[in-house]
Amino acid sequence: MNNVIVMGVSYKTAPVEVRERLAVSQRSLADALEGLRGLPGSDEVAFLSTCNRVEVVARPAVMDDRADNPFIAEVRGFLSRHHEISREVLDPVLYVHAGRDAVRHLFRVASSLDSMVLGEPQVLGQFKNAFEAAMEAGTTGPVLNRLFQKAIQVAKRVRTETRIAENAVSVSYAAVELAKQIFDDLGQKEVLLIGAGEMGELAARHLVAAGAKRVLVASRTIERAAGLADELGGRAISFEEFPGALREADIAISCTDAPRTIIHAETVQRIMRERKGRPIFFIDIAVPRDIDADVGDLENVYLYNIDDLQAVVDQNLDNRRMEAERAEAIVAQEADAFLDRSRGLSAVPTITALSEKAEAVRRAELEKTFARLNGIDEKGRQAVDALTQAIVRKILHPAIVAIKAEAGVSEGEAFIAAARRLFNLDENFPPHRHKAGREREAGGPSFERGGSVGDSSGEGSPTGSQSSAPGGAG
Amino acid sequence: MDLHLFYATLAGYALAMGLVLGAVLVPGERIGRAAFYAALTGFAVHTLAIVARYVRAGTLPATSLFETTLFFTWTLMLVYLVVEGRTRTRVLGAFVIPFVFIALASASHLPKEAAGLSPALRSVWFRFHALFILAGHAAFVLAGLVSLLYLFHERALKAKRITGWARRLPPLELLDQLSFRVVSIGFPLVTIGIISGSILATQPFGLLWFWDPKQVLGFGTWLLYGLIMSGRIVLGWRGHRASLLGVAGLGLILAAFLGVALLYKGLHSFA
Repeated sequence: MNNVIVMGVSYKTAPVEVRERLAVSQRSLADALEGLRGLPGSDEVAFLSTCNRVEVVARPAVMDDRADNPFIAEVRGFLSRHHEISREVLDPVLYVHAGRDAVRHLFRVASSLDSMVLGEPQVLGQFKNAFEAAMEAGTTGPVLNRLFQKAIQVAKRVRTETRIAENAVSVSYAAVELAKQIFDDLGQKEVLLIGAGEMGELAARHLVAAGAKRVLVASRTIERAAGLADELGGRAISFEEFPGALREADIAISCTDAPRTIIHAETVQRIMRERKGRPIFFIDIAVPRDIDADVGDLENVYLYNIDDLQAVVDQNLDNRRMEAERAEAIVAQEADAFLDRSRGLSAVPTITALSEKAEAVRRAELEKTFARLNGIDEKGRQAVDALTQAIVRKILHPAIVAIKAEAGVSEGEAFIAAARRLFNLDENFPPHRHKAGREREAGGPSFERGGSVGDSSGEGSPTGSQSSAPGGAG
Repeated sequence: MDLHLFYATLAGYALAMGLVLGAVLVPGERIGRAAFYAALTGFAVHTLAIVARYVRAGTLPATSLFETTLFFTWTLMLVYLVVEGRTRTRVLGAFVIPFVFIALASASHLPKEAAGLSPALRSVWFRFHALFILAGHAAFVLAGLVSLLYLFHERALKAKRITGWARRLPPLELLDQLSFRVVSIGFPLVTIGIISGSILATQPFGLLWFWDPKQVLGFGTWLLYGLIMSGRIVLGWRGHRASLLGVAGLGLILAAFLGVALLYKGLHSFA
């Protein structure tokens, strides 16, 4: 995992003028992936393109996480050529994450911690799509597959274990949420839209999407009312009819351009008597306001104006920011665990473990032998010691060379996993992190288990990490 | 034996209380579900405790304040669990379970042996009376707690300060319907209880009404809930007003149950 690279631009670094030029539509995605894979030194690649970010996720063939990895320059050049954007514009806004940073960055993106609107749900879908598209194009391999699957899993964990995605963060959706606090089943509720302002329309749309039973639209321009009612699947009434409609409506959204208030406390009080106290929710999105503030003091009447809704949204955003801290902790923990498990699959620790094991076996056998050989002198001991050392070294040498060679290529992890298994490296010398990793995984979804069969435990087949790749998007 | 069961009940509810409060604070469904099952287990033990006492005493365990508390909280839990099973309103449990726990915990300081029932009350009508009155009032108490939730939630919405805690309360409409439904179960039960109590009273005493404070408060409560029922049905009272009355009823019941039992020695002193 140390050789994974994420390069890209996001709303944080680049203005929309740059992002839109780098963006890749679903249709031309295959082209871009093909181009990226064709770069010298390229092995696995994926491409994530949303309106807020464009990122290349890659695993170069040569293991090297230095910032001046030649592959990074290749990708820069490709983006500049493919999107016809000059390096002078691109380079200053393009960020590069490598190794641990890259893993953490991807986990944060999938978990919507790097989004413009913290906790927004769309990014995970876009993330999955990018992964699936790359898999379909055949540009991912065992490393990126495992990485993307894990990122999706982490995003789900963040969503269930924190409240980062809870509560509306737009004014119009806050109205729906409040309605749900008042009413049990929106499917039984009638919405009255007074005036045809855009914000009111948006709130009504959200209410309809949330299942509201019926919409009445009252507007001074009857054509506008009719058109809107059509779109919302409701009925248009004349503007003069709206006070009568208040007798039936449960949620009244007012968004007219009237210069003075049009709904007064006395009117509503009279209406409430006729309604026999049935609660009503007024949403006043108009500026200047359409509804007397006193209306909100009446029994079983709830009134929220635009500032009230904005205050709810601000509160929600604050909550999300608080939850984001907990989410960051989850991401950091998962990234570390993930890297620890992956590290088990890199060459150096495997070679160390192999040498240590051989040395331990050798010493144990030597001691047993010396204990039995009474007449041996110091010189004899040294000779036997040197002999055993030479044997061990000669037997291990080709294995170590092979492991070093395989470490850089994409099937390397499977190869190393096989080596660990052949020499039983994880049984007698279980570094603690491997054990912990295995326990953590035991409860995970099946694709995750499959995706990491070859990693720490060495229990699966050597090709486990490859065969598990398709269909794991879950 | 039944005292061991009593303490086991207490332990079960303590666990359920911790879990249900945790469920309100921590996201996810798991803790809430665990709380529900802990409450269910506590309730099962609770049931055994009552049955054991009934078997031993040979009469309905409603002869001392300890016993009536035991029985009263049992009916309260029964109604709560039915409502919870249907609506999955964890927040309601955050009110009911601590209420039950505190009631039982304070009852653990009371004398626990069954009081001898005065011969005047040894009648089938006594069982009828106690059973229906207690069950009905348990429903009223639950409805009162729901009304309390309603007022909390309403205040948060009116003040436009919907913080994390208020946000997870059930919608106002549901709370309102719930308290109405529970009251409409409790009201006929209490009515039957009062009628059977009258029969019980006329048999030995030849007198229906003898200004026993419990009788007065109990009748007052019945009138109040009669008012709530008719206000809701006939006048269409909803939400705020009905909830205020529901909470008032809760206060009246607690006053009648505790105040009279602790301060006054009379026919109803035990309950």
